[in-house]
Amino acid sequence: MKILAKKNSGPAAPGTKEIPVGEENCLANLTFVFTGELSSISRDDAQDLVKRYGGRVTGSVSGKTSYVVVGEEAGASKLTKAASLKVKQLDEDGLFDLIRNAKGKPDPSSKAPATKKSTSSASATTSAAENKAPVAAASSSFYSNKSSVDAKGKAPMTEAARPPLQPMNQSSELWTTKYKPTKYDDVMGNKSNVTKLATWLKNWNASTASEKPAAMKEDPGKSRAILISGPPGIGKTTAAHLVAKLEGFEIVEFNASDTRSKKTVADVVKEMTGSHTLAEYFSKESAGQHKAKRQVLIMDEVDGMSAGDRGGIAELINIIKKSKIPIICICNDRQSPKVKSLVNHCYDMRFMRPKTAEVEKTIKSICQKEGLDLKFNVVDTLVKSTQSDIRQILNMLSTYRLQSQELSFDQSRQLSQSSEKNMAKSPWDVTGTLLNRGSFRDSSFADKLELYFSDFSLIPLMIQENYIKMDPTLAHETGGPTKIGQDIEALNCLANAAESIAFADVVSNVQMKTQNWGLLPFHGVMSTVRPAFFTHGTVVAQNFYGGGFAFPGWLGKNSNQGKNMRLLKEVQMHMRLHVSADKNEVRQSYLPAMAPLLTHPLKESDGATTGIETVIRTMDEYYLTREDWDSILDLGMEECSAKVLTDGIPTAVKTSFTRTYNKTNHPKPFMSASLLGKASRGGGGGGPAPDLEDVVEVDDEVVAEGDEEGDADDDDVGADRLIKQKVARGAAAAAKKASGSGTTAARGGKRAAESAGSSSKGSKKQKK
Amino acid sequence: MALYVDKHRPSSLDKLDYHASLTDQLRKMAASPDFPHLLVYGPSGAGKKTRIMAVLKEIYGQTVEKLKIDQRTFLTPSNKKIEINIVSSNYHMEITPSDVGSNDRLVIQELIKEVAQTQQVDSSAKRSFKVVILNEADTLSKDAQHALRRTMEKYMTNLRVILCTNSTSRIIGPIRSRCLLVRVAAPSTDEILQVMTKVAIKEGIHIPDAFGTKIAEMSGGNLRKALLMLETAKVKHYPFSNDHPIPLTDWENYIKETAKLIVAEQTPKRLQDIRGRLYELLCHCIAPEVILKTLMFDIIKLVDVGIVPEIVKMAADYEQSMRLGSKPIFHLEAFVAKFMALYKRFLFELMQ
Repeated sequence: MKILAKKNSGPAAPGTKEIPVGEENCLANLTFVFTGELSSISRDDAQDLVKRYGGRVTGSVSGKTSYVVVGEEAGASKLTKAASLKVKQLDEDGLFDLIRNAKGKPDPSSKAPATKKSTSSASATTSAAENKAPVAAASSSFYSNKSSVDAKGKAPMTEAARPPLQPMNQSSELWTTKYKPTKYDDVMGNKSNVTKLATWLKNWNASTASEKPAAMKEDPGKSRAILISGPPGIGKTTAAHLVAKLEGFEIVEFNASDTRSKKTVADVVKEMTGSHTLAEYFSKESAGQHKAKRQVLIMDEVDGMSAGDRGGIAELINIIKKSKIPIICICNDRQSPKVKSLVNHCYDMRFMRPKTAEVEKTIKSICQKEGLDLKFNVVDTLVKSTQSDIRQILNMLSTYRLQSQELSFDQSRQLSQSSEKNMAKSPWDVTGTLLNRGSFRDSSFADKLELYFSDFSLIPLMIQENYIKMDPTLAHETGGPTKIGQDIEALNCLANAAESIAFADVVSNVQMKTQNWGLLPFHGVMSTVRPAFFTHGTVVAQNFYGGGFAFPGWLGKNSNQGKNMRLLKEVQMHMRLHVSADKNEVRQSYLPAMAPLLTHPLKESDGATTGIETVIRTMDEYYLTREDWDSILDLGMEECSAKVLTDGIPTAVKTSFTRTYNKTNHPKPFMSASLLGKASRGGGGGGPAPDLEDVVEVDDEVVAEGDEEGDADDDDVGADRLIKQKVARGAAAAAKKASGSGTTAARGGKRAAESAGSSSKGSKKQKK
Repeated sequence: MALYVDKHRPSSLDKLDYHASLTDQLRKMAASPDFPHLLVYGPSGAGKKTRIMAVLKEIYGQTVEKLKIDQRTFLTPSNKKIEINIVSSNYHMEITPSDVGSNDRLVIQELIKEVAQTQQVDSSAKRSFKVVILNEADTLSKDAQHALRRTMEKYMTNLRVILCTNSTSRIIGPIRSRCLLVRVAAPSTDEILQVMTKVAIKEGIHIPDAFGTKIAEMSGGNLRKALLMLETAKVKHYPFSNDHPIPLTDWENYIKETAKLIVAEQTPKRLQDIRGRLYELLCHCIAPEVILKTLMFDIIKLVDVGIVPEIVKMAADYEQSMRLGSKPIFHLEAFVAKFMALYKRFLFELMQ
């Protein structure tokens, strides 16, 4: 029972202790690392608690760590590292005491110390001073109206006497427009990209541009256009506009609101890209320097070119090839098939999501200007919840500012939750959430089913692929104290999961056949939630390669199986005239017997030529082609596999086998419909029959027909091919017949080749 | 250089080796003007196709052996192109509708109706009807079988259908009632031995008695397999001796090895290895039912008799669910996982 208590996930006795209430920001400047599971509060909640009081939570112990909060089942590595760095360790009670007793500190994010009731504390003033520095530095060069902000911020206010709501700056502008960056330093994140873009634009010269994608990839200067890609709201358009403006370009923008079909793009843009503006020559400041007011074309949202914009991308590519002005294309999804063709003609520039640190300062100063007080860790929460979408953060904050002047940590969580993007989680994340112990137990049944619906064709496969790699927690809880008991239970868990998955397969089959989509939730439970219930736990270490869950192997194996099935079907079809067995029987009984017959003679050292002849005769007997020879070996396993069977066949023999086979001619049971084309439909006649004599007769007929068809329809490639092949085969068979024995096949083949050559020449002549 | 099994295949009713009474019956049927639809069933390698072809030869004569293969293309309602190969002579046509998977209904509807609606052109033909042979009839979808039932009655003057299948269990009742059921049972060990001896004499090889019996037994009533085994053994080693080992086929060895691995260790790690091996088998086109069956038989040879019934039940359950589902690997894996859990507990309890 001890094990049960120990391994139990989540808090052992939730709610038994009172959650402490401390002074605001009492944990400011302290960094915490959590390890193990606390007893009365879940780890996530405890981390939130620390963040609420201004502390930082990091994942690993370092020199900057102030405290390590140790719970049950603590990670050994974290503890040793903490000990070596002499970091103080706290247990749950210690943490709570710390919160209760620590003195509050002024919010370093606020530049108005007077507003905080706890400013009297001596220790706090020093920390506030420390924290003040970077913020001041950040904002010092940023806004022209900084002084007014300071004046406003310094207005003495106490918590109690704060006016209910300070009126906002009366401006109709959106924050995003109002605080648009005006110089390179203002851009949040992607600094190197912006610099690169600026350099490219500055040095842009149509004559140096190259057509080769490879050259463009290396050097942006070689390309006439740049393709900027990245998620929404991180400042792609802003950066493009800013750079163009600062480099002194006139901007011409096309976006999704314009029609961008082939025609309009050609009409409007072509004119422009092939010429110069008059302003270039007449404007005063550009006197003497032609470069002054050049144009840049910004094609925004190119992945949004829709059905109405037919041919737009192709035209754009044409324009890029000849453009005399730089072109900047912007898109969200670089993988989109629409953009794919464009990629080869542009320098590829990817904008990344900015980090919290990169946006924090700017956002804080904007809020300050607008009179919104942001508490500790607030920006971090917002950045995480919006996935670094700066535009969304600013819009959220500006809306929030209408009702309040202060945003605390709890409120920010609420805010971000209510406006959380319904973003798609990657299949790996979903699998992780379902199979990892903590996240499985933390999410509700409905949540898990929701995860299934994020991609109901892939998630079950992900679960099926990965459930087997789990060490099920359930087994530790119910397997009793002994290891063997737990091992048995673990296998039981896996077996139950496997059973459930197998059953889900039946459900999905019924659902597909009857098109009863109402069965999906049921399938979700059986294929995903239930197996996850049985096997959730920790990933077994030895399987944990590549740092995550594996992609479903089923997909690859299934297509592989399909391919081999096709090969087998082909082999069986060719053998069909001689063999009555179905596909399975051919694979299970024939191929193992046949594979050695097709390879052993080649290995005989005394005469490779006779060996080759023997093999080819066997193949002809069964109407097998050279490709079938490969297929048969591919289909074998172990001692019948290609590796074993072809081992010992000298390469020279193999090539001479292929050459001999291609040189000589072989009976074919039939021609595929696609080869014959329509022309052959009518001329079925009698088909080729098993023995060679019949082949000859039949083929002669077909030859005649083929010639007629050649006359009738000169352009029919199928017919042309038919002539060649059939003639060749007929000749070969005739040659064989004449010589009366198989040993002269090679000679016959030669003659056949000759006659085939002459007859195909003949047919060509006819064409002329 | 044909294989023995093809070289010595009997081509007429007179040359058939066993099931004399069945041969007799077939001969009488071929002689009478009234020839019914046939449902020929029996295990593979028992001689179903051989008998069907012999009967057709009896009816139409030599020409029926002149076969050709055509390829026909159909367009499904969803505009997908499907291709099917047709083996035919002037008097009969043979198709494997399961080649086109779930589109088999379309093939049945279009192709068979087309044949059924045209009369025999050849005035010299001995019968006014043509014969359509449907291979692997047990894999016909229910839809396809229903499409067949009315056609079989309506066009009786022009068409006879011969269904060839391993088991009648998946042929719907209405079809079964429209056909004369012909069971071609697996030949007994003695009969197989007899055929093998006959072949051996023609080929001029000597088979020791015990060696022959061993092959006959191992073939499990599959004459085709027996002859192929004989030939493989001959390629590997000749002359035979009584204690000469008989080579198993590649996949049988692989499954046997897999069974050993399963019985030797029951851990999640091993289960994962087994998954890889099962995929390997499936990728090499071994039918999943065959894998499950062979694996089960190999396993029960290695474990205590006490738990055998349970294992067999499990295998039966999973075969059922495998046929109902569409991803065989899930069911095979579930079987292995279940067995591992069961066997591990069994061993644990045995120790105490």
